[in-house]
Amino acid sequence: MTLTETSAIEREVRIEAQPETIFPFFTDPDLFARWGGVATLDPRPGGIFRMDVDGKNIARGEFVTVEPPHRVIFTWGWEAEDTLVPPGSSTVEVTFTPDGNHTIVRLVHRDLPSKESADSHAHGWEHYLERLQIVGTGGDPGPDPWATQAMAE
Amino acid sequence: MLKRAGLVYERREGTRRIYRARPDGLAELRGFLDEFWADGLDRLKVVAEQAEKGRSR
Repeated sequence: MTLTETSAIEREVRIEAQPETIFPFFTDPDLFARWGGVATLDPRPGGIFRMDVDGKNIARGEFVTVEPPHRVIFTWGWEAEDTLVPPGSSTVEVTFTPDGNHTIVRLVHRDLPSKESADSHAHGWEHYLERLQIVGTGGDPGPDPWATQAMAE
Repeated sequence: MLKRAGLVYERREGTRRIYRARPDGLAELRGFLDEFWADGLDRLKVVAEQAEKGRSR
């Protein structure tokens, strides 16, 4: 995947608090719940990041970098089958930069699918739906060219 | 049935139940995450500033 195929969301907020005060709101489940929702957090590289986004959909990933109180990076994706954004596929980086008695909290959610990768995801499903349709109408779709390709690689 | 299949999600607002598809289309996902992180950081500002005041008291 090349850089042109993904996109990012960037947000910044200026908070009247020290980085040391704000950082635990990303690593302590009780504090996280006060702004981001119910979460399971194991804040060390490879540790789980799992949050209830809206009462139904769960986002899951892993902590990648935990540098209190400067920076935290975790991966993010939907904990569901058939999603454009599976766990581990996108990355959230949060940085905490002191600014007087304030802190600039900057959140960048990157590696999100772009138009091209979304199209290619849809293309993948079309391929199998077409084959399923042939089987469904009593036909034989023949060997899957994609499977043969994958075997040869 | 759609709910059981995980294709939609349910949110309760009072006595109303709101069903919505998992935001997974490209534009839909971007819009959802834009709003989700913006609202989240706004709430973070409020609770973190409260915590800071509690600390310095």
